Amino acid sequence: MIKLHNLERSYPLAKGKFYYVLRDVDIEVAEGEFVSVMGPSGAGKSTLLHILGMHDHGWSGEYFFNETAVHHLKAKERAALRNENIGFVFQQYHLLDDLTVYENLEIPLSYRKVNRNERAAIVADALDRFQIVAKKDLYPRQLSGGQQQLVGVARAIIANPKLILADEPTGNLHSSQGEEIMQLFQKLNSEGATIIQVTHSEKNAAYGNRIIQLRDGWVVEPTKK
Amino acid sequence: MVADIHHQGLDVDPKPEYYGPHSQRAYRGMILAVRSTQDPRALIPTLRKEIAAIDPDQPLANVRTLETVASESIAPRRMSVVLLGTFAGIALLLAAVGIYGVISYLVVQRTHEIGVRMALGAQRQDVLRMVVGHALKLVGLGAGIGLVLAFLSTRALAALLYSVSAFDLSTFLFVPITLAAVAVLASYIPALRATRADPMIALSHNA
Repeated sequence: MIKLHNLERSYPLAKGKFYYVLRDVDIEVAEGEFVSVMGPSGAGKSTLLHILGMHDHGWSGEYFFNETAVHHLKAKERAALRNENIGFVFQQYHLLDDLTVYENLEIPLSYRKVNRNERAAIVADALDRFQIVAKKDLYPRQLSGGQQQLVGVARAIIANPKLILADEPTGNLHSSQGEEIMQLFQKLNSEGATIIQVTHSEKNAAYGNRIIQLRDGWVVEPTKK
Repeated sequence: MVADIHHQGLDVDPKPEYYGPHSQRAYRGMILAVRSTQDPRALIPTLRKEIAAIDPDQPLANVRTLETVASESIAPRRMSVVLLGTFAGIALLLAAVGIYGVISYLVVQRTHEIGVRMALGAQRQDVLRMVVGHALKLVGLGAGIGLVLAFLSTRALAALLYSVSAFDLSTFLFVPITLAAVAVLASYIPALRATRADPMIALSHNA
């Protein structure tokens, strides 16, 4: 599904020098895998995730997504590819404060031009599936951290993406809430979703089937489970 | 029978009048109107000569073309309109700067939201529509209040208007449309800036 070759990300410094966040990254992720990216702070994990999610365009090298050469695509084409295939889960949940749970779930669908009736049906299914029907009219501030992240995961998968990218999805949660979210990821993975998560937690990484270790922007030996 | 003449100025409606012989009811002053197909200013020396031929002691003063007479008769009103127009122009400019400032501020406040929306699939035109639409809502509200106030102040305005109704429909349509156009322009730049927001930076922005 994903193939990175010689991918590098750098930021310019003074006197024509560069600070490299990612160096010579070669990674392959097959469809249906559940991969955990680990490494110390500043290793380039989140940067890698944003490149995979096609938010970051300032990199060099080759990136193939389902045989599509992302490195040859224009920003608009990358956005279209992302909208069609990728869902995001963030550590800070990033729910929109002024919208209800229902409206937050509706957003990704409205940007994919899904009509109103179809949207209502899909959101109703998601609310049911994640058992948050009773919360649909509440605002994010009225939910616990775990509930907010549950909505965040529901929002990430509502447009039926092939790939879910999660940046420290349990970083702000209590351990029991974190376990629930990880079990949910495992369930989604067993149902066919490819998942790449960034995590500091060995325990969370154990839910996946492979770990990619990053150190100072370099990939240190990938581990098979 | 003669047509109406605006003796008191272009902005004063003519009154019923009749003409009588000067020898029966003489005035100290007399206005002589001369029509010519040539440039009327070229006739002035000839006029002076002809009047002097009739009565050498008769002074001839204040010789003006009809355009000058008409223009001078509405000079005070023109001055009011120019002043009003200038202040309206300044007000429009200030409104544009104000809208730009408010929308820029709101866009900065919404950086995080815009980043999240873009991460969730919003395209450039979605963000543009959102920001400009919000500006138009604010301007619509302001224009609505302004129109009500304008209706209420028509009596005061009526004294300054000539040949235009205080409820002039085209003016009441033109002003809100102009303000809406100004709002679109003033909000377009911050909106465009918002579409260039880097989702990575926006997502790291405090919610």
